[in-house]
Amino acid sequence: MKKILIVNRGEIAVRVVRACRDMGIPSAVVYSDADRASLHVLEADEAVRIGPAPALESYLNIDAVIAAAREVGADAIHPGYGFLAENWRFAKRCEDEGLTFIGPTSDALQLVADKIRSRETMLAQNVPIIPGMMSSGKDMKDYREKAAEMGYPVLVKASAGGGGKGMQIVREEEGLEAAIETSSRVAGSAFGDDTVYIEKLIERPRHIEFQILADMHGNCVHLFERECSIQRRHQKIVEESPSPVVGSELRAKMGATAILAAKACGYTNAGTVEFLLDEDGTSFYFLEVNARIQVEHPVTEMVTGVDLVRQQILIARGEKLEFTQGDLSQTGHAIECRIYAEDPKNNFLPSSGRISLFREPQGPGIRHDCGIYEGWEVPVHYDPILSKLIVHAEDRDAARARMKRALGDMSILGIATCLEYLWSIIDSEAYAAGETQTDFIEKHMSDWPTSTASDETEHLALIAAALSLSTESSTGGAVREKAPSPWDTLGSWRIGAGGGR
Amino acid sequence: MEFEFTTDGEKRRVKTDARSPRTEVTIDGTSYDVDWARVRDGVISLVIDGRSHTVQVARRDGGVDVQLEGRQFSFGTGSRDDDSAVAAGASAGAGGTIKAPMPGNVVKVMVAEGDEVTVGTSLVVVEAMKMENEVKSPVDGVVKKVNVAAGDSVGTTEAMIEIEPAE
Repeated sequence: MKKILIVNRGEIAVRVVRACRDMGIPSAVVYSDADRASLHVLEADEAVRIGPAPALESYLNIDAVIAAAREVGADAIHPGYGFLAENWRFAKRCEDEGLTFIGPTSDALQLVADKIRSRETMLAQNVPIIPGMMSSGKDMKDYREKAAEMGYPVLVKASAGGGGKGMQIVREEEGLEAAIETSSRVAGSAFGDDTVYIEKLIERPRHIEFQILADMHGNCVHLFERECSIQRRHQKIVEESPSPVVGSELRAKMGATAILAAKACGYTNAGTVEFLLDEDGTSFYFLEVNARIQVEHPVTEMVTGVDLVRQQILIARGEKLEFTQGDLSQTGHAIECRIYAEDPKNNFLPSSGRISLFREPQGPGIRHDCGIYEGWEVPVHYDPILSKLIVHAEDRDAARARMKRALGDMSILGIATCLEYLWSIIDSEAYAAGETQTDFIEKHMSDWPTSTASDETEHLALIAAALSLSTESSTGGAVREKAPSPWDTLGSWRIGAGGGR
Repeated sequence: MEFEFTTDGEKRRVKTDARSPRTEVTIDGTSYDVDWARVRDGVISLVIDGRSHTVQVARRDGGVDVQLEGRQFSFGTGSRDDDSAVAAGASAGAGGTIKAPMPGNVVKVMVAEGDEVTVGTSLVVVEAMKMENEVKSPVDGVVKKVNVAAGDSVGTTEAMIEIEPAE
């Protein structure tokens, strides 16, 4: 590989830039007008303007991306997650243009994007799938009969769906017709495909997914599970590895199934096989394959010591996996919290604006995959994810304690973030007990904030606010008097200056 | 100096003499003996009764944001209007003046001038950061003016729609 074009923004673009630099591979990024001063541009070797702010005209504009690759002389493209990452037409275009798409083939992408087709594929391999229809219904009568057969409650799903869009829970037959109509309409406008089908609803499941790596020589390994059950509006917000409920026997069984599923799709590169684990923790069902590097990939990296982005690049370069299943193990426990620019005290409305103050937590076992900096203006055009805070420790209790400390040590001011909300999740008894079913948020967080800060904490905040404001005012003089230190008086200089890079 | 902060609609009065590094701060009658230092812009160190607290402070329009020990506070300093710009759920405003709940782009305008609306009627869809938000009418009345169209970008201060409330 001569040069990799990174077609993304934010923390994941920064992550890939660094992986390329670690491997000694030149890289370039693309940016929209809204991202000229974004961190991924500042961190890059090369940067190409790709279009105006709206994603459709920039990060999703396939022609512009291909032109950018030509302009910088890139022979490979890393799509990150979101945007074009799972777009099989884009992957096909790269294949046709002779560019290496760092991900699976367009054929595999097309297969896993179609929920009904992937269910058929899994069924043929005896991978357990959620009981339900294998095609859309002929008419309402057909839907009614199928739903009655599997028994209520059922779930109406869009075949082309994702992110929970078009999904409807139906508890009794009388709600079925309306749910199918709504789901079909939503799917039609969101995905351009109004095909829907019905599955049995698995109540109070856990979301357990397996990371896999598959090279182009037929080798495939899994890198154990991530539990991502804590979700809000079908978006994961807290992830961990290992899962608090998966034992070694179940892990081996699910891991083997994940490999089987990946092979059945002809999957190569890094991917994730998602399962639902039922409330008893005994039966699991294939959900879907996520054909990209996942937002939550760092928890797997922390417990396995494998750099997944590096592996993606090695695989795309045609190399054989450097390890076998037997070489891999999970060490300790890792937790990730996603830091979003949204206001938990105001319906989680997204929050844009200037980051007036930013402080990152530090210390052993703390990793911060970050796409922001102090003084940066958070644009309104894109996903509100700012960064991901990941901790690693000897066991789950130690990891929880470390995450609480790290969240407490982190400051982002000027915009609203979910930091305090995340702190409450990690601090909760339910989280400590590992009761992380997918209904966690509605069950345990609906009355948040439960207790406002104690008077004492609020008073400390008020004291600091008053002292800070009074030093700004004209009377001044509040900065503590001290003898000038050489650091203040020497002016601009730095150790080892002149070395250059 | 005396400051008045608002938090959740309540007032807090804070008295301090910041010219001295060791100062007494009084909040609504409770006094603290504070040893303090400004570490850098936005970072204040407090030592009170031997306990050390590092506090992050940042100005914003009409107020100040403070973060310490995992908690975040947003205090109003200016007039109360500054704080009421963003209200929960539907956007608020005096009577039938409809503002965006967050800065973003107008995706869809669902009413026209002259339309009758009731509480909860969907008026405008505003999108920011891939999240669509339906702005609903807080009042019964008639749409007097529509100031936005699909594709417009909006802030939180300008009136998108004006409704003449029913008597």
